[in-house]
Amino acid sequence: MTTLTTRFLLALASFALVATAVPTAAQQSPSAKPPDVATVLRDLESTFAALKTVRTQFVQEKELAVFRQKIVLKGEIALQNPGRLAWHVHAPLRYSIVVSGNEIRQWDEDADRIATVSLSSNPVLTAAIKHLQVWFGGKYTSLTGEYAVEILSLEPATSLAFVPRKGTVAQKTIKRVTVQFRPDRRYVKEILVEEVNGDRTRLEFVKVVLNEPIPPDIWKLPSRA
Amino acid sequence: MPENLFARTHSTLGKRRNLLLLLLAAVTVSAAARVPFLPFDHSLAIMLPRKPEIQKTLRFLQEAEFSEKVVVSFTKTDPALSNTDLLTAVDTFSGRLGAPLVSRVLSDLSILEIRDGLDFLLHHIPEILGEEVVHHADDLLNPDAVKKRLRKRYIQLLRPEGSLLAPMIRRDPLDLGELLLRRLQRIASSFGYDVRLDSGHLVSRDGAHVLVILETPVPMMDANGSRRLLDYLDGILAHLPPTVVADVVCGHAHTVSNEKIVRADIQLTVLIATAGFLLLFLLYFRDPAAILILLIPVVSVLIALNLSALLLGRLSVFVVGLGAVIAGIAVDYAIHVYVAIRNGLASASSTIGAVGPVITLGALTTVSVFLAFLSSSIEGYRQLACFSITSVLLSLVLALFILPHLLSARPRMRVSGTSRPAPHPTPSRTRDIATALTFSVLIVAGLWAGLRTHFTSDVSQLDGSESHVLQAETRFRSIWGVGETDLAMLVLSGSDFDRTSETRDRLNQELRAAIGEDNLLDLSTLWPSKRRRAENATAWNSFWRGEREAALRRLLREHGEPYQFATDAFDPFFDNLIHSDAIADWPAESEFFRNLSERFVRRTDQGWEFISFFPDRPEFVQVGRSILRDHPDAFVASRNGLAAALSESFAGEVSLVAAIAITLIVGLTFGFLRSWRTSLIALTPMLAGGVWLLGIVSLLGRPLNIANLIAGIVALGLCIDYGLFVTLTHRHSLGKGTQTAVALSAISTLIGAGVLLFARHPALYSIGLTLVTGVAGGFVVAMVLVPSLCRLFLREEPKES
Repeated sequence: MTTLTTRFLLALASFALVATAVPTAAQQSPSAKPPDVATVLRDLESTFAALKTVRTQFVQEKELAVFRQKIVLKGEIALQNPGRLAWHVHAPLRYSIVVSGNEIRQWDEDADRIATVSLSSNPVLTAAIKHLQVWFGGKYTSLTGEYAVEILSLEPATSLAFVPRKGTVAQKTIKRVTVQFRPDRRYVKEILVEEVNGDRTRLEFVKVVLNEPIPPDIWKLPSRA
Repeated sequence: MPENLFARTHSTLGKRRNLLLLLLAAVTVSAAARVPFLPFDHSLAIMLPRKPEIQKTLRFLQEAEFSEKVVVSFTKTDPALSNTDLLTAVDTFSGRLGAPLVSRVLSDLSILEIRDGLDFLLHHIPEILGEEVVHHADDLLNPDAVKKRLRKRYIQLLRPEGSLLAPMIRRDPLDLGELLLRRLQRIASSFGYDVRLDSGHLVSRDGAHVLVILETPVPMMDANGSRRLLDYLDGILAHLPPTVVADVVCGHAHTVSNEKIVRADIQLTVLIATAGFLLLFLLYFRDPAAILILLIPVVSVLIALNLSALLLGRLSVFVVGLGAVIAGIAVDYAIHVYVAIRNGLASASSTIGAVGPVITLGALTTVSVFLAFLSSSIEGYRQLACFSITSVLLSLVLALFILPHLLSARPRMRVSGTSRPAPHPTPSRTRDIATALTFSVLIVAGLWAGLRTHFTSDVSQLDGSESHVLQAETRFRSIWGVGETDLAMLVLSGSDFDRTSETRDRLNQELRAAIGEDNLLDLSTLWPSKRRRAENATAWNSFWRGEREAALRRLLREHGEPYQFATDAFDPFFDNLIHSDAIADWPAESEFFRNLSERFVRRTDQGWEFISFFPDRPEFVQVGRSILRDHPDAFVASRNGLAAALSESFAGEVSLVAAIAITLIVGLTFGFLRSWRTSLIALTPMLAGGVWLLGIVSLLGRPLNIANLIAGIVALGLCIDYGLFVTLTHRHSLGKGTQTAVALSAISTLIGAGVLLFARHPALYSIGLTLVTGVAGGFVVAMVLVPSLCRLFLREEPKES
């Protein structure tokens, strides 16, 4: 289901979350970044660049003011470079989205139908996919224009905090994004998004399998009921 | 006696020959020096009819069609180049732009502005949507509908973007904003361009192209400014990475390209024509004095330019361009005088006395053609008439009264092939009949083909822009779509914003009812007049006062329970449920709202202009015009309607001009010849030239355009000269001299017009094609058919003295 509200807001959300493509000189303040941050980001990006496939289960906890208690989602994510992404939610409801090249297909148990749209024809979804690709794909240096990056820890596991810079779009909604990596730094372990309004979303990756062939079924959406 | 008058004048002026020549030289030099400073007008509008509807539409289209905008379409040529790198290249380009040539860059839309703008609109939904949202809310006030909406909101919240949607969902649990966002999306996507938003940029569907829109203070018709602007942009675009290319699309490119093409065409044609004339005159006449023939129209044009500018205040460059061709035609009078003088056995005065009336008649028929143009409502035609009449009359005077004095100072020499007495050829009557029949068939065939010709008022066909300009536009359309060229516009003007917007609401309501909701696109759907918004807010508030608010709270609480919605989940909605009496104004300072509204509302010198769009179909345009019947401050601007109006107006203008010109020509011819039979024969070249002109244009598969029509009327004026001279030659047994002069006149005209066939500019080419076909046809008929007709039908007429 893609309502107009969703599409417009998703666009805004993606703008808020995705780094601006072009960091300007004014936004890049060398003195605001510890010298080793760049090295860490480069190392991470280099490691992530070697990834061909990622398959992982996830647990997403949403602590939103609109709900009276924490909502926990469980599902599975698969990535295959270049350009393939699958996001399957199994509980508390079933929802799937599969991106392949320039095409996006969605399904949810309420509609019980597959909606196919061109990625390029839907600006909001395009932005959303970019959002996912940036955080999952490790292209963190592209974020430095909009976010100040802080190293929270390097051992035993690397943990980075991305704090929106003053005057940026992200600053309007995001308080902080914390990314915790596996001890071997080969992939993300957890992403925590804290919003200005107090809402929090934590995404934890479990049972991560890297660079293994992904079964073809994962790119399929549930069949019609 | 006319002969005496011409001869006397020639003799009288001859006594002051040196003084006259000195005076003429001084005037010519002075006129030439002043030409660069004359007030030339580059606007095409001067060549279009003055009908208020046409002028209003043209003015509006010129101003409102974002003619001051420049579009730059960037394309990545290497698929491996990332979108980020493409956007970086675009941003670098945009960052280098600035005053004075670029006043605003619209490539990077402010996301903060968009978000704030959307928030603003969603907050004011009740004021904007009025009854529609009230009815919608009423429909949703039941358990089933609320349950469905909450389920929908729940699923949205659990999607990856859900946490970011949460604040919006809390403010609008029933998704009432969907109605407004649909309208917003319709307006935002109605530009006709196929774009999506990516990181604040306008990006093509396939992501390989980025669009940047610039505003410039340089008017489109300013050739020098346009050239500076394009050079400036090219300079910045030169810094693009090798894997990114850019197309600059704007009216300025047409202005610069047309000017370049016309300049190159003029250089080429002047070169060829000069070489042709020199070869013709020097090789044929074998007399260096023949160059004087060429100087006559040059001097005439220089003086006529100054006189016309003095008289008219300004001169269109198009008129000057056409007038120069026509002035070239005026060389005929000098040719006739030269041939007569060089071939004459009597004194120069006697020769001028003899040929003066005939040459003057020829000039008067040409003048009568241009006099007919004075009746037109098109300012450009009147300018053309003024300039051309002045040129022709000056050429006539100079040819009759100045040229002989320059020639008489030189030793007499025989013009080759013109020696007298020339024995009359005596072709058989059978041959003359065969000639008449053959030409009759050819004229009928020309008429048959000519009747299939159709007229096009599409002035863009006279656009001579180079292929790279047109190819850039073709690429642009294939990537981004065609824009709003298929939309007509309802334009309403007023001095007071609120009152005018109220009128707009009323008119659009009527128009919407007549042509259908989906066919009208206007800002009132997103931001009605202040009065309407106040009424809407009142209706919304009265709807919610009473039990409905409590009922909705109860439904949301009850059906939100299974989805674990908090009890205060939708407090932000209820906190803003009742709208205050203070009605907000359009946040015009916001870039988001400025982008949104600039197509629909424009500030003008007189106040405000509101614009609504609808499909440019005749039935809709007619409905629009009927609705506006009692609104003199409003009109419908339709491109299709404009084309039809232009076509109709041009047809009317040309018919009037042609009718007057033909009446004058026929009247003059009959007045001079005093015989219907002789006059009809003299008019045959004009008839044949006109018919064949239409036929050949038709056979070439070309529509008649405005340039053809103007040049065509001029061609007719020339053809009658040939008919007259040859008829008089037969009637007065003038011998071969006149025929030689006619042949030289036609050949010189054909050289002057024929070189235009080498022109790349379609307007110049059209003029050349028309003159060549018309004049060539008329000349052939004058030289071949007219003598046969004269022998067949005038043999019995008594010789006139």
